[in-house]
Amino acid sequence: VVKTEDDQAQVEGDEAKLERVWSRPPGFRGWLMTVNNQPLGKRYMITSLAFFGVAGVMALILRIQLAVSDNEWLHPDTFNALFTMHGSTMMYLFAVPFLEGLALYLMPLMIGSRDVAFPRLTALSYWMYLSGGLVMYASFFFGTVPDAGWFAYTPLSGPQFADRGLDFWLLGLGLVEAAALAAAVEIVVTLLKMRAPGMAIHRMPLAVWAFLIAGVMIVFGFTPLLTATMMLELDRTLGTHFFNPLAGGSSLLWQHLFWFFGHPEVYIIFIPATGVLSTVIPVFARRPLVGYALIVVALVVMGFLSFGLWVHHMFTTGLPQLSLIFFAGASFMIALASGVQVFAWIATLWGSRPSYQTPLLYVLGFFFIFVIGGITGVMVATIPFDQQVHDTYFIVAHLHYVLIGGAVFPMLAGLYYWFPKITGKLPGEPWGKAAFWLTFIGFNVTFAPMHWMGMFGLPRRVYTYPADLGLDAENMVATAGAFVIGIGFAMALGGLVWSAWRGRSAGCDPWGSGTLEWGIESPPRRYSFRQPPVVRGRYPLWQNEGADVDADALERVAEGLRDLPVSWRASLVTDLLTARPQVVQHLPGPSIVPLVTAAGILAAASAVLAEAYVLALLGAMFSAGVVAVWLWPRRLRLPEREVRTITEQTGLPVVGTGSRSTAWWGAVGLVTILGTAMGSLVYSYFYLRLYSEQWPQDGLALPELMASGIGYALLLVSAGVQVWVSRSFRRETMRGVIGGLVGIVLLGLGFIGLVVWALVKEPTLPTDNAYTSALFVINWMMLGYAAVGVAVTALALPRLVWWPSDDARRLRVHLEVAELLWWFVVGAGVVAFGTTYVSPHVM
Amino acid sequence: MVRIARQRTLTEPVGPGGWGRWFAFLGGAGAWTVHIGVAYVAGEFGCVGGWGAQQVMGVTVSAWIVIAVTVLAVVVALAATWAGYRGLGGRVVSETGHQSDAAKYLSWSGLMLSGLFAVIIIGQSVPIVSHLHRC
Repeated sequence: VVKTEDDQAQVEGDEAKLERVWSRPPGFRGWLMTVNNQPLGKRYMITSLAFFGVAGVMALILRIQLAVSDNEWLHPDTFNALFTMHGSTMMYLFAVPFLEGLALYLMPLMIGSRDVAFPRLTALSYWMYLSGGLVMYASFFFGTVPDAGWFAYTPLSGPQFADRGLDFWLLGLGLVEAAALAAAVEIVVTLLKMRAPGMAIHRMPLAVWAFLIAGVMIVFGFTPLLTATMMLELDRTLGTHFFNPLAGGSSLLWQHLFWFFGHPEVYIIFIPATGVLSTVIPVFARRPLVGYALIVVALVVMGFLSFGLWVHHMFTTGLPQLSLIFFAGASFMIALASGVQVFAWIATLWGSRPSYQTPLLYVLGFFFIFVIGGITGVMVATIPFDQQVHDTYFIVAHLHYVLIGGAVFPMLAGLYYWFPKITGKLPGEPWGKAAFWLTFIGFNVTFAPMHWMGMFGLPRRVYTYPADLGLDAENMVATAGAFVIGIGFAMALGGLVWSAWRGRSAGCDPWGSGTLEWGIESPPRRYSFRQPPVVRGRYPLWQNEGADVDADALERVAEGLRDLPVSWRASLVTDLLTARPQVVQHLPGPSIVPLVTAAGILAAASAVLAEAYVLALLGAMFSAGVVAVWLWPRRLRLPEREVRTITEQTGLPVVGTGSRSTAWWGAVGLVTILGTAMGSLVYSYFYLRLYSEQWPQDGLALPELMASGIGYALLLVSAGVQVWVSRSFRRETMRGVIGGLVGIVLLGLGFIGLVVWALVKEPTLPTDNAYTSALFVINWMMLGYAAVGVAVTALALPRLVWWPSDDARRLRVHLEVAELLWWFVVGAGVVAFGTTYVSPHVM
Repeated sequence: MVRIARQRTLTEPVGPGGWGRWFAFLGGAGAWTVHIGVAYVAGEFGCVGGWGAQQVMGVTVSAWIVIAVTVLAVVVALAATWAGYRGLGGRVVSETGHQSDAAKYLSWSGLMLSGLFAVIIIGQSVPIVSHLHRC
């Protein structure tokens, strides 16, 4: 936290002072300590583009191998490793991180905020993402590259068939997933709570809607994958049997968990891309977008439906016909939502006089490619057709048409469009247009022939094919096209790098855009806005004259924050629905803590890879300790005079409580993630049971209820104590609050002790069979949840005991967060106990 | 302990009928979520577990469950659509006595969203008509 001892800087803030408080320490140390959204967003994008380049080179190597039949240039194992790393890099290290980086950079600018809600979490997210990518690629240096595909189907990825490389893949992916979840919570809370005054939900730019929905989808979609990767890593290192059919596990369970992530993943990439399109099209069509409300509806529908389609990736796995037919029907329905958007974009361009600059060219390329990908998507939603082309090059063609057409082309449109804002320089048009045409032509030359290659029976993921298949010419054409795409992408990115160095100055708004980010300098200052903009329309720079009932009040708040505060970082928190100002939120400054936390986690992951489990435990404990220091309650010493000035000028407090607090919303995000993880494990438990002839498996005894039952009963008692704490707090009875909190901590510790005791006493081991694996892991997870709940509750005590009269609002926020977490722990406990202890007895 | 009064904003966010508007916005989506979840459980857990393959009046238990949850989900989605329609009428008054466009927008979006979800729930259930008597 930036120390704010400078009293003379209170009241009369000016731009220089604002600049100073938002700057970071000089030098490399300052670079490591950065927590501001702009540099971190850029780092995210640059890192992901670097991974994109590496994965692109791998694709070219793969295409060289496939250019002619019976080719032995690459060893089959090398081919497997390369297509695994190509897919994994594109899906996990490029697509989502790039869009998250774009969101972290742009969203605060688009909504008129000075930063994101949790700046240090952004930094932690970036460092974990980088660590995850490095862990995955470290496998090359150890000569054990993962080779089970980007989907890592079991049992191929299990301990029997995959070597150490898959541990690099799983641990690296785990870090990347955790980073994505942190960034998602960051994005969602920022977009819900930090919009400019007046930017009510009906005025939010469509890109903001798109990133908001994608953020929520990441929370629900990435968590099952994170849980599944943890389960597979436990299978591989500890010897559990979740996915081992020989010990009661199920390989298809992995497919369910994976595709419950995998299908939404496509939309997690596509939906932000639609936000880019909905931003770029009106600017180059010179008119507002047609069908704003319909597009919002389509985005929400896509967000939900994408979670209901995972089964259509499993049409060939022998699921019951009823399931297949139902999910085929559901798969057709999503075309409705995609169609609405495509027609709205066409309607916007229809009859306009578009300016055919590079960003719009990429948009037009998107239309052509994505519509073909969408149509083949409807084809593969048809069960008999899918069973025919499953695992052939038809699917390779389809997924590339969807992902490159639906995501990479819009990303490039966005990159060209926002390039002047990010760098302050104009992108070179001739290079941009040439790069577009090369990419567009190369793409279709590469992937269109794959449709009929697949129809003619060329299976995917094979390192070569026989000459008598008669597909040499098509493969040679596809390989030539791949090199044209490669040149196109290289020209695009090279041109942008050149423009960033030597390009013409862009000014604030070179495109004549309508959204807030174009109303400030290019590149923006770290604090983005000297005062919060007041929004009265969907395109505030085009027409900001919409009726607003509290216009004067909003202007007064905005004026009151002009160049303020100057001795601490802050941004405005507003109401979720109407964007009325609620709080002037203090934001933390530069800190090394996120990097140190990520380093601890990386050390733990590396120790697991080295099978040094004690070191891994120490690394995890170190990280937990750093997080405890991070969250340790401190008095927030803000200059009183400046706080008073802000409060008088805006009528707003400097700390929000309840749903006005971003911390509370962050806790909601955490609870949602933890709940989804528990839900994934509970689903796994019942799925394994469904396919087991007896339960508990292998004739094991039913789980003993006494010790665990008392433990979980203590948890229920603690719920009553929590009610007591809340009531005491409302009645402002300090003793009641302290006593209640101590009670919760003791009951929580009692729960932990008794459940540990029950598990130790259990005559089985987690390595016996899939049943015992599920029993132990669900309860371990529950113990972890309880430990977090106890820690957060206990951390409120120093505040109450040492400085009860200060920081009253922050104390309240802490108690509200602790309460939310504890209720979650109690709820999760009921589910865990019901699943692992009660259900075997009663079902 | 220092008194911490509940904070007040410049205006209350939604005004009267706020929950109804949120129901309009999310009711159809919630109904669809329950629908797909129950249909999956009835399909895989019912058919593999055996209990769903039993027939009642020539229709499998799993199919009956899907039919029942379809009817319920459509009713909820239509109720949410109706709530959205109702939200368009009348005045939405904030604490300062002004009409809230955001609240109206929530209702309007809810009307379209929940209506579309009702159509989707029906649309995705239609194919099971061909599989009423077998898993």
